Amino acid sequence: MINPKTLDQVVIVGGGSAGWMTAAALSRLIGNGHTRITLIESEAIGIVGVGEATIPPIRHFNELLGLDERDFLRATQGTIKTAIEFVDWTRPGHTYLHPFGTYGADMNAVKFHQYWLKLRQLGQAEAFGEYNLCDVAARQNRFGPVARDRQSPVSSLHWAYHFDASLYARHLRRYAEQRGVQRIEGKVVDVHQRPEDGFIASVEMESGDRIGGDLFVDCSGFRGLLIEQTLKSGFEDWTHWLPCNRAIAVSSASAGELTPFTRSTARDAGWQWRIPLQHRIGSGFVYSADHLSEDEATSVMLDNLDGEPLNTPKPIRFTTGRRKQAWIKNCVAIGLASGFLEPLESTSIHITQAGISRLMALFPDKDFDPAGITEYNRQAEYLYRHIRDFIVLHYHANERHGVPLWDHCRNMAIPETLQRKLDLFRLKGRLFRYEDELFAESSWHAVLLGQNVMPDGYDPLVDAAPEDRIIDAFRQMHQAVAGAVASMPKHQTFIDQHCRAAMTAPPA
Amino acid sequence: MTGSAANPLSILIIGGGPDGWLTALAAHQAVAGLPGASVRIVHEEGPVCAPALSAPPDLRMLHGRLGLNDGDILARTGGAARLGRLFSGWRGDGQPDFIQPHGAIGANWGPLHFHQQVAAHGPGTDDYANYALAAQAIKQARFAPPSPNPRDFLSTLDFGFHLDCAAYTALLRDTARQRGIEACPGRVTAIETDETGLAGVTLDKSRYLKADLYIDATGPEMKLAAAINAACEDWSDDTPFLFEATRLETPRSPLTPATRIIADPAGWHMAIALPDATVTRRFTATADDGDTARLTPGRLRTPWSGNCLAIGGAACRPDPLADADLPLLARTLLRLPGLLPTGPDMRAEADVHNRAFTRESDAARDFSALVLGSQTRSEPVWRACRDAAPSDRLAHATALFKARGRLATREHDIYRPGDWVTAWLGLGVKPRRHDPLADRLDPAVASARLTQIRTLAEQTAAAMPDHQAALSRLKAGVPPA
Ligand SMILES: Cc1cc2nc3c(=O)[nH]c(=O)nc-3n(C[C@H](O)[C@H](O)[C@H](O)COP(=O)(O)OP(=O)(O)OC[C@H]3O[C@@H](n4cnc5c(N)ncnc54)[C@H](O)[C@@H]3O)c2cc1C
Repeated sequence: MINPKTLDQVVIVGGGSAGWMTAAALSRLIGNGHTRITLIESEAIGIVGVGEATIPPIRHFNELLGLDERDFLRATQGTIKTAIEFVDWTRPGHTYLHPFGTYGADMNAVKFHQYWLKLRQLGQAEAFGEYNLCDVAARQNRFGPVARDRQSPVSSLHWAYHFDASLYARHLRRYAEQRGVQRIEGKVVDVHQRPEDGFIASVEMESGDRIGGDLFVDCSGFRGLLIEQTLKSGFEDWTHWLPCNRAIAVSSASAGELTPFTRSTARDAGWQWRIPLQHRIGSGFVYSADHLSEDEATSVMLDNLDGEPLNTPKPIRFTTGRRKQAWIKNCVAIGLASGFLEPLESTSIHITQAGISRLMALFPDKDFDPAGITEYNRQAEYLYRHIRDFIVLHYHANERHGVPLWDHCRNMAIPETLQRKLDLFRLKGRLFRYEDELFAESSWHAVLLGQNVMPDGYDPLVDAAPEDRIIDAFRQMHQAVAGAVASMPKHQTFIDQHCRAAMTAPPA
Repeated sequence: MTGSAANPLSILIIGGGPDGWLTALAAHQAVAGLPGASVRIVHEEGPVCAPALSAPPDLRMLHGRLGLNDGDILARTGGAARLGRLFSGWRGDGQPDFIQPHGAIGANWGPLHFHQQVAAHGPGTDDYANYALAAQAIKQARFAPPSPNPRDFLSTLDFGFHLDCAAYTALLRDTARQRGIEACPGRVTAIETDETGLAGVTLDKSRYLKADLYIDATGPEMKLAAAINAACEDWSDDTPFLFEATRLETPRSPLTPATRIIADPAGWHMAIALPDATVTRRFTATADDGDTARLTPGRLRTPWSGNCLAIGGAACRPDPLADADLPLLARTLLRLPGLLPTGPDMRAEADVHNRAFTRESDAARDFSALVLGSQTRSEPVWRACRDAAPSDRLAHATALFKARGRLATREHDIYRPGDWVTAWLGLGVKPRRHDPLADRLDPAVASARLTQIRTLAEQTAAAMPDHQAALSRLKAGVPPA
């Protein structure tokens, strides 16, 4: 028996990756045989379509939908990602990796990196990354499942994907439509609210049709058609911490060996991404318009491509920050409509995915319980702030002296939550993570140590273990990682054997 | 610099109750092997705590970390197992008792909490706690240690303790001695301070002790903390029942493996069942008995200040209804090894601890407020309890629960989700409707699954030994069946 309060109709406005991810997940998970799902998108408006790098939780999302990994990679020209390489971030000429997974193994309830800090002082440690499986594999362009030995001091392998975001949206569209999601093509030109409480009653299409619903999911991208233009959520602007506000994206022909990592290269007015797909390389330049003109930015980017550009560079404007309330009345904003943080740590699709999970966990009925909405917004804010802090760290901990953007970032007052983390780490390499933080301690270690934030001391408990035993254990860990990586195939071989996409001719 | 081989870390603990000794064991374990580090404890002689302790499984978690054997503790101190709390008399409408069981209560289905499944596909939320093995075992007065085999339903059990405080303290003291921890009997007669905090303490006007880190385990007296930073929050307005009287009664049979929490027209009491006696701690609004002590609920604003860390009752005295003293202590001690200071400036470590501790003790305060604010007794003193405004966080959590039975996320919670749910449901605070996600479950499959869990709980409990018999076997050194 269906409860009379159960929603009859969910309307998703927007068919970018956020819209179709939402549609796919709802079609799979609501499944009460009653609630109908409609998605509206406008080809004339189009999608941003540049999100191409992800982080490991994307695999849970795909699993939840029951997608086969190899089919999915084939359908999206996808490749494997085990790390991000940061070039010139710390200072020109310097490179480090932020790999997935953990470093070494903790011993005697003391963190691995604490021992590393001591051995480094003694000149007895390899580079930090040598103890991380994903890091070493990435630098050798290798990837493949490793037999998991419980005794092994090597952590298990973690990975995410690079893929063509518009192909992903298309893949999910097929999935959602098979599960009964109805798609409507056309432009929304007006929004009608219920006079008594301001809830959204319907959206009006260019054709004059009105589409009514109980719940509206705003996936309309930066404009925030419902959440902002209609419901006036308000925007918390974080440009003072993250000054970049423009991007230029372009694809280029592949060249050289296929890497299993995203590369991010710092430039004077921003940074450039390089994302290897099966059929091309996605590139883009994120920069601050206060420090560089669009023409200059375009030429910086074109000067730094692997191969020939395959399309005309696409300029994008954005403001970094978050929608003050992601859920208002009967409208939830997901994807770019809920806010934007630059793609430095590939988190946008993850924020979308987290929004969908949260919506499932707090899925409303016709009463729209206000406490559920408060809880949703609280959790959304928490995630945004946490990711923001992590991204600000990359800009703040730099030694690029004499370059205005970087001088500003090094000297600016950073969020108090980040300042506290940094203070604690500088002192003796400690980090205290709150529960539920997206980036684990190892991610913080990667970027902190990678950007040369070296603690003044280390945990005193490190001295409790005899030095030679630690040195020995480190040697074993290092060998175990090297051995595991040596047994992996090259990334290109892995793709060729398991998930090669059909050849596509590059667009003319 | 302290904490290096050249200038090792010294820790001085003041206080000789279970708090102090547990802290000594934890600190000693944390610095074990650290060249030159030292841990010392100063303990006063004489009565140090209530005659009996009632502790949730958090204490077992701490014991595990400290390498203390639970069976051994039960056998050597004449203690009993605690499988939960049994509440009586909290509902004015004559509704039945309710149990807050330890261990698992059913199993969630993805994001759908177990109680939602019971509400949508079972006999209704009143029945929620009965799916826990601990609840069935409490009803049948049975006990067996949890099984380590995850395929065995007995692995879903968890337990805490009823302990004779003096015997438990003695056991901890002996263990500390065996582990070579330096203990000095004595009384602090003077405390010296300087700009970093404490500079030294004088014992019995004759001995002067210095340390890098001082730990105040002196309970409500807060001997050390009071000397440097005694800014406190007073929580006396949270409850009218501030007078405590303790009594020893003859043991009851069968020996219930649960702490009974009983409300009556003038107050409430907890009954802690030991094999040789039942200890009751009664809390009332007036000191009608000659032998009463006055509670001082509240907490230090900064439990770690300078080089002095206050723990246990020195840091926070939650309402006894919150059942939070030992969980707060356990969390503090589990955190300590990661926060050992490396120099005289401990602000960063203190900041991490103080933040976490504040949230943990907020949870305790909210929990007792939930019980006092949701009971439905009709006497004026009880009615007045319902007038208190809940904290924003509790109000939000309750509203969220009342709407669709959902649970608010709370950082540094000291309770399990099931503890909140059993309290709400037991006190008659019910969701208006269940989570719509529950409608996705096939009703036939879901209700069969519920019946299966329920049957397993009943049958597994029935196969457990009688509580008293299980304790006797432990005492005789017979391994559990
Ligand atoms: C420079 C840049 C780089 C990025 N890199 C990454 C990355 O590496 N990794 C990552 O995870 N993410 C990345 N992202 C983010 C990623 O692009 C987005 O998260 C993703 O594209 C989701 O976008 P969306 O669906 O929210 O919005 P959009 O793609 O903008 O889709 C909006 C949809 O709404 C529809 N719409 C809008 N208005 C109307 C209307 N009036 N009527 C009908 N339909 C309407 C449009 O037609 C479209 O279908 C990046 C973003 C930018 C800007």
